[in-house]
Amino acid sequence: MGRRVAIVGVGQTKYVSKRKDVNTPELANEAVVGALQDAGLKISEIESTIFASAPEAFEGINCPDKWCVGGIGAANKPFMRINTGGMTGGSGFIAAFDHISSGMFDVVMVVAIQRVGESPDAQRILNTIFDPIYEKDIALNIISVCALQATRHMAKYGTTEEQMAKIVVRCHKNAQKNPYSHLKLNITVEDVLRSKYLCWPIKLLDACPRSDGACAVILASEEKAKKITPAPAWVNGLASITESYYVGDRLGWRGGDDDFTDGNSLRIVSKKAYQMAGIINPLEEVDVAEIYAPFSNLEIMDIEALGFCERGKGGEFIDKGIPEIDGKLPINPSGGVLTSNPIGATALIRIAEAALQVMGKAGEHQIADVKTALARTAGGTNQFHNVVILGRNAK
Amino acid sequence: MEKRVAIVGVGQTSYAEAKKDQRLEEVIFEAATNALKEAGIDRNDIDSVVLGAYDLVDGRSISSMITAMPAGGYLKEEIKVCEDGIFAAVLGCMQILSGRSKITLVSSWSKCSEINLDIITNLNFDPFYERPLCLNETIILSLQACRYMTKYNITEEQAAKVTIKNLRNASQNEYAHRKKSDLQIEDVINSKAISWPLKFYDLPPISDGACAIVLSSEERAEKIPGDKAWVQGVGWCCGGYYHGDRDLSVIESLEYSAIKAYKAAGIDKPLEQVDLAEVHDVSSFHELMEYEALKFCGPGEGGRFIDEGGPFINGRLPVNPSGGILSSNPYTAAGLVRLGEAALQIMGRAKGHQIANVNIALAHGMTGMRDQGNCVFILSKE
Repeated sequence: MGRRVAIVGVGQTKYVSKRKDVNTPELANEAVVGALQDAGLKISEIESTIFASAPEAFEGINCPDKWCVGGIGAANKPFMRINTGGMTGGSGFIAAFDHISSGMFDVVMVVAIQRVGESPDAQRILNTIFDPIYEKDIALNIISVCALQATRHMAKYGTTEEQMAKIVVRCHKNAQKNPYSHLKLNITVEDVLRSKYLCWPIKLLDACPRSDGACAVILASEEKAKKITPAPAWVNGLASITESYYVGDRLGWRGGDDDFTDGNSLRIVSKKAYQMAGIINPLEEVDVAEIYAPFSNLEIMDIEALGFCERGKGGEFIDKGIPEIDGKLPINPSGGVLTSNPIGATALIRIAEAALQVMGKAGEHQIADVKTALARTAGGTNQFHNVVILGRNAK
Repeated sequence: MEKRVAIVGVGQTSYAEAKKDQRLEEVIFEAATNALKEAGIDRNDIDSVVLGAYDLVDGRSISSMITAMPAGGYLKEEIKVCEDGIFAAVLGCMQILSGRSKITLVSSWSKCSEINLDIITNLNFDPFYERPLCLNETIILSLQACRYMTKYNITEEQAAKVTIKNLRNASQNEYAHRKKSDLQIEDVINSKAISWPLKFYDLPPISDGACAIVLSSEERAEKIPGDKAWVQGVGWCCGGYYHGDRDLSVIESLEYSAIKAYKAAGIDKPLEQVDLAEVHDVSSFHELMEYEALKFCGPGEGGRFIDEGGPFINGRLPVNPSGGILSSNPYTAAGLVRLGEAALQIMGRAKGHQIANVNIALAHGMTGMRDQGNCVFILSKE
């Protein structure tokens, strides 16, 4: 295998509906400066930069990365941009890992950004991810696709809207402890259930906001990481996979019993990441997880596919309070995607928050004694999956 | 590089004005299938897929959702780089060097017949200061060409010779889009001005087509029969954004990329050591500027280099024996095609436009407006 890699610095902006006071390079700059300060590095010490942003239609700029190179200190250095939709930040992170693990660089930064606030209607843009001939005209968007996955899970496993609502309440409660969070509502399960339907069973409060924001993460080789910080977050496992494009094609797994609500490709990729990190029993060995769930039902699907509980038992897992901040396996202590979603940056924020937990720098939402943290990111219509496992000690 | 990466297969489609009988997915599938066939492996042998594509050029958001499948990405590790396809090859090499992949398929494409590149490239410019001026890629290329002409007394005739050379070379390339074996300097000079000094023949066509390349680790490559092209060095760099901040007659990020790649490959006299180059000739003038940035000649000597016949197919250092982008321009894939063609020359599989005894070949790809990002690969036979 390649060389060991660690996270040595993290920077975030506050996530809000619309940042009217800065342009795109300036917004990216805030996250970069934050990450450099966190790592105690100068921009000249960054050898290569990866830029991550999802569809340019959100900003209305083609190749916003090229515009941003001045603002993020990437000019006159090796540079590339990644776009895999919602998973962009996670894919950018894996690309940065490969930059270092390959032996070509020692210190690399990944910068992820999105200004969803620049677009009048995010879902209208996301309608353009669908097949122009068969699907686009039936007004599919991310909300309706996720609602289909939710109804299937409800029909198959008896998952309820109350269980979904509990996730929302937890995320907002956790977000109150995170200074960067966009939404931090003081709500109850009843409030969620009473909020208006967007696409049954998904209601307004089951859905993420649309945010402006940026996140930057600095990675380093083993030798450099040890010099930069006494407590880096080691990248002990990572893996990525791509599912079929058409949601209707995600049927017939496991002899026909499994379909698009069972997360079979996520099962494959999480096993690969666990194997790389030497994890046998995820529920026992993972101390905290940051999961990419822009709609509450997706967290239930992911809990099962990540092997934290049996197939179909995700709702029960929520009822038992296991993912609460003081539970056995806290999930999304940052407030997660349900409270902040600058799309192209969101996946990197999951990894950054997992790193902060391992490094002991998560502030008010810090979980005690985190040895192993998991970040799971997704993109497309839950089509792309990444799993990243970070550890206090190198594997 | 300590460990090594080999190119073991190159697949292309023909490049044409408009492939009306194929969907984009079918074009991508054709190139990927050809690459696997050339390498003598099948889809099960691939560990990862790296795509080079732009959403706006593909006409859909998160275009890899659909394009990953025809490129072989189903249930594989797959990632999309939003740069010219040659940058996808860079990331593919790093995946192999990190030990996470043994065989990686790199794919890039464009179906330019379905889009308007002038409108799309206008959206690349600063929305406040530059976009309202109606700048687009062609206009910015002409500003660079003007500055280059003025600074070094380069003539339109010298640039015309680049087009004549490349379109003549293209007539021997079965995949090429625009081919002219008897084009004369006057034909180029008298062709319609698009954005002076760039005339119709100084600019590439826009083509539909795709290219795919199979990369392999050294260990795995030993089990693959046939000739291989070994990656000896790679350098890439992104320059500043605003053209007012730069000397437009020099492609600085290409100079930097070349220095890095030459150093890794142990090349100190490019003109003597490199046997052949495939460069990103986004205009005839740009090919001259690239001779200089790649140190095939000194600053301002690009015109003299072609006057002396250096880059012709029988010259000292043949450049673009395939016909280059001036003959075939599958926009996003254009740089990856350069890498593919350089590899084919090393492998001895370039057919009609094969150069004899190629040991070291250079491939150059470009990304963004005004030459902002550049990448150089050095390939060798051994």
